[in-house]
Amino acid sequence: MIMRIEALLLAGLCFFGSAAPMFAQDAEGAAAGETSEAVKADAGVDVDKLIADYNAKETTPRTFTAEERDWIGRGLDPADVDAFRKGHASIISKDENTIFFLRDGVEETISSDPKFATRPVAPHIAPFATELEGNPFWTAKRASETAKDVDAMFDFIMWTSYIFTALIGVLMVVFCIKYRRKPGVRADQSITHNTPIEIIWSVIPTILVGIMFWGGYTTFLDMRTPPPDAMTVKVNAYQWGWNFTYPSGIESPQEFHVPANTPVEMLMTSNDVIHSFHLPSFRQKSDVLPNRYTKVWFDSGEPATYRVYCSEYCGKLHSDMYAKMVVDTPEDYAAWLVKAGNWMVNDDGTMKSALEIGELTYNRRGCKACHSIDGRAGTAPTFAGLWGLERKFADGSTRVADENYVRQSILDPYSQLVEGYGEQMTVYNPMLPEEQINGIIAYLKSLKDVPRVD
Amino acid sequence: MSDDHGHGDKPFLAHHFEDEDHQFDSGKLGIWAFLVTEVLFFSGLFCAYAIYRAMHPEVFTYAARSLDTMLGAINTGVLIFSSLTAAWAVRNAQLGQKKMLVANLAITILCAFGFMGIKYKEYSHKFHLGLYPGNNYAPVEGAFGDHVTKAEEVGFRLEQESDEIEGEHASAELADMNESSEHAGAANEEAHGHGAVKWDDPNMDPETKSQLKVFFGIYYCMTGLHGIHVVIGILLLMWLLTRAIRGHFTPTYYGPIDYAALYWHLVDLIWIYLFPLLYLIN
Amino acid sequence: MTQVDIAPSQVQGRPVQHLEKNYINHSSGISSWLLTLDHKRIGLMYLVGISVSFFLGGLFALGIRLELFAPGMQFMDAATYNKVFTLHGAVMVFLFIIPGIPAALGNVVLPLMLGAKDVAFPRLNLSSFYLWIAGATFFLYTLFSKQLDTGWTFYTPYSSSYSDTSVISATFGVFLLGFSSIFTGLNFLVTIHKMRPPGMTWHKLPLFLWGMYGTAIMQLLATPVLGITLLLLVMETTLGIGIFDPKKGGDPVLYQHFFWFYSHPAVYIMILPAMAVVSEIIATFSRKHIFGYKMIAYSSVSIALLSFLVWGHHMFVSSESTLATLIFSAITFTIAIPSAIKVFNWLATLYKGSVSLGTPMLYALEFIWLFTIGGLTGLFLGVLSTDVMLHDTYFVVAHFHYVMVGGTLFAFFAGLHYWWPKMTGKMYSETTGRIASVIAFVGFNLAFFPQFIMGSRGMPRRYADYKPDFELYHQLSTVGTLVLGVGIALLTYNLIRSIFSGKKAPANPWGSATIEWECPSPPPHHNFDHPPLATDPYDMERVEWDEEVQGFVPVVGRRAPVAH
Repeated sequence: MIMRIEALLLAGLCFFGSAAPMFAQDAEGAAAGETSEAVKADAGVDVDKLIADYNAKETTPRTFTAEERDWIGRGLDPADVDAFRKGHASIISKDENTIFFLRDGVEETISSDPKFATRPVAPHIAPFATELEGNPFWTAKRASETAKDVDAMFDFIMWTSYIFTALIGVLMVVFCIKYRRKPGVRADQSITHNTPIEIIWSVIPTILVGIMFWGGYTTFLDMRTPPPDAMTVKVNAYQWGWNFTYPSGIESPQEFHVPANTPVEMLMTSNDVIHSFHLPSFRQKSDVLPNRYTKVWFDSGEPATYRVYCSEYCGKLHSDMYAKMVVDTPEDYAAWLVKAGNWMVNDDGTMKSALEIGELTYNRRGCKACHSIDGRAGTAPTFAGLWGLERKFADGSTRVADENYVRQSILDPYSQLVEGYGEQMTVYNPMLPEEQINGIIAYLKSLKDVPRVD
Repeated sequence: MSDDHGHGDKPFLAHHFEDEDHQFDSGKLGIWAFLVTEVLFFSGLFCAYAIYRAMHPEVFTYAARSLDTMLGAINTGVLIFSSLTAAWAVRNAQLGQKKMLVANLAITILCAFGFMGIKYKEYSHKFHLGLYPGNNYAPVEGAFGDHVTKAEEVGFRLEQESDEIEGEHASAELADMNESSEHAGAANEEAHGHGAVKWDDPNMDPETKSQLKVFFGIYYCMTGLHGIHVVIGILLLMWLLTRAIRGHFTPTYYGPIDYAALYWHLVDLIWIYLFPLLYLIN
Repeated sequence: MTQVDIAPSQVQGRPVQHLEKNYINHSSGISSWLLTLDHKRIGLMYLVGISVSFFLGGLFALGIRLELFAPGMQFMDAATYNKVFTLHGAVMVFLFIIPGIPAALGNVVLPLMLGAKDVAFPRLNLSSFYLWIAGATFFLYTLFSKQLDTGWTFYTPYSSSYSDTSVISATFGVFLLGFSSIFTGLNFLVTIHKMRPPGMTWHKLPLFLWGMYGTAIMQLLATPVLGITLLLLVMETTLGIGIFDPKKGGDPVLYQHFFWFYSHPAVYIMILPAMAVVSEIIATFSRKHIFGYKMIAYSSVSIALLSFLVWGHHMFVSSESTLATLIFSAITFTIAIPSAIKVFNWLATLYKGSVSLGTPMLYALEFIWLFTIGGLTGLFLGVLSTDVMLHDTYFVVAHFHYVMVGGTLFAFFAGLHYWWPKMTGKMYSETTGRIASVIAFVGFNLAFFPQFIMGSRGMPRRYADYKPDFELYHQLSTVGTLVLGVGIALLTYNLIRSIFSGKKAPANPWGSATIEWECPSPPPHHNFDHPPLATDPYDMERVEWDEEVQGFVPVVGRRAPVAH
């Protein structure tokens, strides 16, 4: 009985949920037209002055919506707000006191609430406002036509379910009350079967599930058939992260960008166990298998930022295995691609130092999933204080950790397995370029004096 | 057991059955249901076999060359004969021929031991060639009889003699064969042109190589599991043998013999499928 | 023999309410229990075993929900969480739900319902129990060695090559539990075939027995495949034979096919006995002939057979070919129909009945409601397009909890309360029983309904941590779990209390017309001296309320004569 009320409530919420984005858009449209009106935020920040200062530096003046002005009033730089629009940065979540946002892969918080300061979140696993605001009640944002098709079926089944649960619940309650046991009243023993009714209640569900099956199948065919002009991004999943490779050979870990309104095909394989590439807003998912390629495709839609989940259990850090997907305008996409290709180069065009490259490699390549830098041994030996240490191998032999040792450990890890550890590491051969190996060596040297716990 | 399960004059009739026929029929249905379970138990392996063979038929044809068809055929004969004696034992029990029953059960057990003995020879021969299951799989050169000329003769001789000679001799013989196979390998290449792939060549396509390993994985699982069933059968038959000697079975009570014989027929039947699938695929 | 006393009283139409000797006190000493061949004692020992497992699994569930109360890690790390959710699943599925109704309740009730003295193979029955004990011991070993973190599905290659937990002991435990299940199924199959009393034709078989029959078929045909799969997994883990590990030339998806070939029928091994229990209870508490007997009976068997053809729907997004997805999706829907028919038949049984909301009936009605939601949400997962987005999310978690907990567990509670007087000879407090039932129902819905919403919004399952956007749903769920826990604690208290201070139970407290209520509560050691003559098991007019014994007694003139 409680369930029935719950369902009604949910149905109500569902309606409200689907209407919410319309309201949101209206509000935004209205606010955009009223930007000349001065909006003063609390904390005494002069929003107009900040915007004026910002526009003075820009070639084309920029207008801000009421909501964006609110953020500026609470302490966000107008440049950041502009970056949100371009997808370089994004609002993670916000409430009255707090704004989480993401800039250049680093999470920042503006908050008066100490509660949030206790929750450190790695940058690439942060959620994105675009997926949370104004979605339908039951599902994530509908980011593509496919998502709309899928949701049409979802809604059809949902309404069928509402009707049947309501029917069954009401009949059950009514029968239990109307035919409750009363002294002197006997049950009607003559009703043991009724062929017409039994046929009807077999045939109607059969027809309904027939419709569901066929509708689901046709949409599924669309979901499995990428258009011939789709661009391809190759995906390597590993414990516990993602590596994305573009046709030009440019690689990007944990984050990938695609141009807006373009069909994109992800060609995926795993380096170790089974993972699953899950994009809720596009209603797409496929397991990522170690011994073959699997594919998903989607139409990227309007510029926005999305979270990619790993949805097949893959071990210890399964719940941290997110990636970030950014849908860019074509210009931003081109700019990002150049930047992604030159991650070892500074903004001024000079090469980054070996140590910087090493640290970036450590974070980008997934070394950090198993090799800690705080001295604690995990699935693999810690990097702390490793340099110069004598290593003892499973076969009893030993070797000092020097340049050649590190190099061989990266390219052919199983040839010298340290005692007590299994064959779990990804073999980076021929995947890891020379600069990055040198970088890792430099990075290990820098960690030489960190104490080891073991 | 604290419970009273006897019917007085019928020592083997359980209390909850009406009469001997009732008990026998129930047991018969039970054993048939159990055999269905057994078939499904093996079906997983047959399924794995079918899938890998469909994916890599050439690997299977090739790897099967290392199996000794002759020994396999002898074992098939041994098992079929033991099935006959098992069926005969059932008839003896029905007719109350105690001596014949004991004799037939004993022959069946002996055949089962014979089967396991030959199986032991086959396994140890494979281990000499480095054809271990799983991670220890490391075939020595010539393990698949690639080098047709002299090596094949040596290999063939080895397989023949390995039945009689002890481990050390076999290793010595093996070393001998390896030596000669080096020459033979060269001869083989000349004979068959330079394009011929040597399967234990270190440069062989790693995927094919690992599939060879999968073949032996499946081979050991299937024959090993079958072997375990034979061992269970031996224990079962020995228990029945002691009961038969004590004269427990009568023309009205012979269910256990019948059920064990049915089980034994199934073990036989599974081997009859295993033999061609593993040994005769080329 | 003691049961000689019964016959004259039965002839008079009034079974004796309490006998000096029954199966519980018929002999004493530890070995009289541990070595017993009596199906009722074995059933009771199973009941104790699975209850302990259930509370262990429940503790793990509590750990999961408390950890997920807020984002970020609360009191365990990710590795511990992974072990806790794995152990929760493995213990609940293999040690509790699968043996729950068949082995514990079925063992006690099935021969009684047939008017038989025991199951066909009492020794096999006892060895099933000890196989269960052995399997549980391997689980305990797992728990005290390096635990298990593979998920209850043991997916390769994670389980075979990456997990450094006690995969081998756990899989071997499941292997033994599988054989325990096979032998129970085999026993019941033969018992139903061969031990029926005179007059009990297939169309007079109580629906509980139809359900158990379907279950037995699945146990016999599906469980061996799990056995060989796990054996191969053990071989893979220890020797590395390379069948499932891609690094050694194998195929991890083959493992999934093998696993689900068992585990989908296993889902029906869990739910068919539940439906069977509910069919009995609904008819008894409506005091009315079950509606559409044949449809319910045949749907049990058709569910059992169809369950073997749908395993592929667990792999729609695991690189299955489009043709395969088409076929598996289509067959999946055919299995939805028999389930729907059962629900309609139960509802129709209530119509024009004389409905009493006793504790077992409350659980049965709650079962209908929860199973309806569980079944309908299954449609979302059978439809290909929506399954893609919902696969491996909390939507799936909520769906199978509605079926397995809302379905099987609630039906188990229903059956436990229904047959409790028969098993123990004691009546529990009806009021406390009903309150516990309602609390558990409310708690269950609160715990699992929010999971549908977060799942369809993208929250993947088996996550040790989550983002703040799912916080509300997780908090509702945790609160619900605590409420459910309170309900179950109250239920346990009520039942245990009844053993010590409950009223003596009459032979037939609810007014059922099936045979097990014709012997006294608790039954004597040998159940029946002569097999009772069976008539229509739903001819409720055969028994009527008797104020003096506070139970139902056969109507003189209408009750079945004793067969000789």
